[in-house]
Amino acid sequence: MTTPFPDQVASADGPGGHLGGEVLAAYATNRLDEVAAWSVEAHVTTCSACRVALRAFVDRDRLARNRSVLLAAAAVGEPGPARRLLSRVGVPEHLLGLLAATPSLRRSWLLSVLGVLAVVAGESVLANHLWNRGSGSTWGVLVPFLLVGPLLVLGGVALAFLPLFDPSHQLAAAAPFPGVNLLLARAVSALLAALLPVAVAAFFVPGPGWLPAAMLLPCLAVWCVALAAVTVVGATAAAVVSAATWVLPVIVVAASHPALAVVRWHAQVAWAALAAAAAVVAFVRRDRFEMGWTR
Amino acid sequence: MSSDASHDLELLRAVAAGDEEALGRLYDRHAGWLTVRLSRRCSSPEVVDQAVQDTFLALWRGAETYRGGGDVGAFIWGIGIRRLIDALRREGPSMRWSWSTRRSKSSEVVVSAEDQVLVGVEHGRLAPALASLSPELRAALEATVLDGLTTAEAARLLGVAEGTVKSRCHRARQALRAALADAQGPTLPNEHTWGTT
Ligand SMILES: [Zn+2]
Repeated sequence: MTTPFPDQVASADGPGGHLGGEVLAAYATNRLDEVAAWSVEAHVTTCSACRVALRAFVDRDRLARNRSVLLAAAAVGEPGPARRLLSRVGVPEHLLGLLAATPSLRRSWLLSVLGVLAVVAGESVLANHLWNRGSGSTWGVLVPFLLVGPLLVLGGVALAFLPLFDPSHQLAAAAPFPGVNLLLARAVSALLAALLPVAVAAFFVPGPGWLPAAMLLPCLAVWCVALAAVTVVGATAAAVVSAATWVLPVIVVAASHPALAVVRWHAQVAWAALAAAAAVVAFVRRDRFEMGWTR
Repeated sequence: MSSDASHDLELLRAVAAGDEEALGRLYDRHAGWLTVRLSRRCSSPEVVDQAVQDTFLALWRGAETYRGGGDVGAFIWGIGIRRLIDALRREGPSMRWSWSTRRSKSSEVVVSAEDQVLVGVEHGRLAPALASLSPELRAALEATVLDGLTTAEAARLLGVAEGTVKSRCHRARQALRAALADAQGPTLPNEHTWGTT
């Protein structure tokens, strides 16, 4: 940097020569005239003490919020092609940053979802081949796959919110928009991140052709129950309750009926009703969201 | 080198090496003043926040490396002001302060005589010389001299053509030289009041 008047501009940093709090406050609130501001800036460029002192004049919540977003973005790494595309389409950058920081969207989680699905689907294909000789009368071999699908959705939601797994868990408190919107965005992203692989895997397991579509409503119902439960009990208890909502019917039905009865059409009506009821509860009690997740 | 400065250097090194805790500490030390200083150049808090985050992300991702020589604050400022220019380019020109609105509203703040000397401009006869410049000329000089921008970057920050920045800087230096020459002689430093507009 070349300056036509180096001595005048640079000479501010004498021994003990620091700016008074009044000057800093006036500068930070834009109440200094431009010439005075010029000299303040020339000083703080080289004076670490006055730089640190300026922090006191910036809104603390604003700094904390930006800090959270920064650390979340740093934890996520470089934006991938999908994020760049969404950004170009007009999705706000800070929202993308928060979604990308959602663990259920991270590559490691997606890979484990695919891994679990591959194991379960492969197992049912093999079992069907060995025991049923491809006849598939009751589809009992599908029970592991049926169990796992909605549980993966729950796992994604839990991972998105349990502070233990989430480096950006303080985001909920410091979100740049209402907390519920943020939590809902993350919950939806977690739902989709598990729902799509489950539906695709349903094409590959031995089962009726309508199985992929039949998996959607139970997944949605379990997801809604999780959101509703978390407004009533803590996050861990909500995960257990919503998991039981799916696991118990599957096991009970498989013991006495054909296994697929749990996703046949009259069961679908029940899942739809459950999803609607849970959605209503979650909506009515939405102001309790954050407390549940961050407890 | 003060212990603060060496502390900053250590933090920069740790951040470049991927230490998340160091990133948080570096942010705590520098985000405040950077936010204040960028806010004087852009009217939108969102754009300023974005530029501040981009600055620290650039350090984190190793897109900018400190090569020594010069204050860490000046280094961070160099990144911050350029990230602000990038952010302004994305957001459109409406976020820039226009020169009429940017002028401070008042000079109600009374600065003590001691502070005036410490700030350094006053006794250098620079203050009245700068104050005598038109806002446009001063802004061009500020962007190129104080902010350390190239003519092209200053043009983008100010939203004018590059040639305009060049000619304004030229005129500003001429005017400053003349004002400083006038002020030579027996003029006492404290003759000017602080904050004349
Ligand atoms: Zn100082």
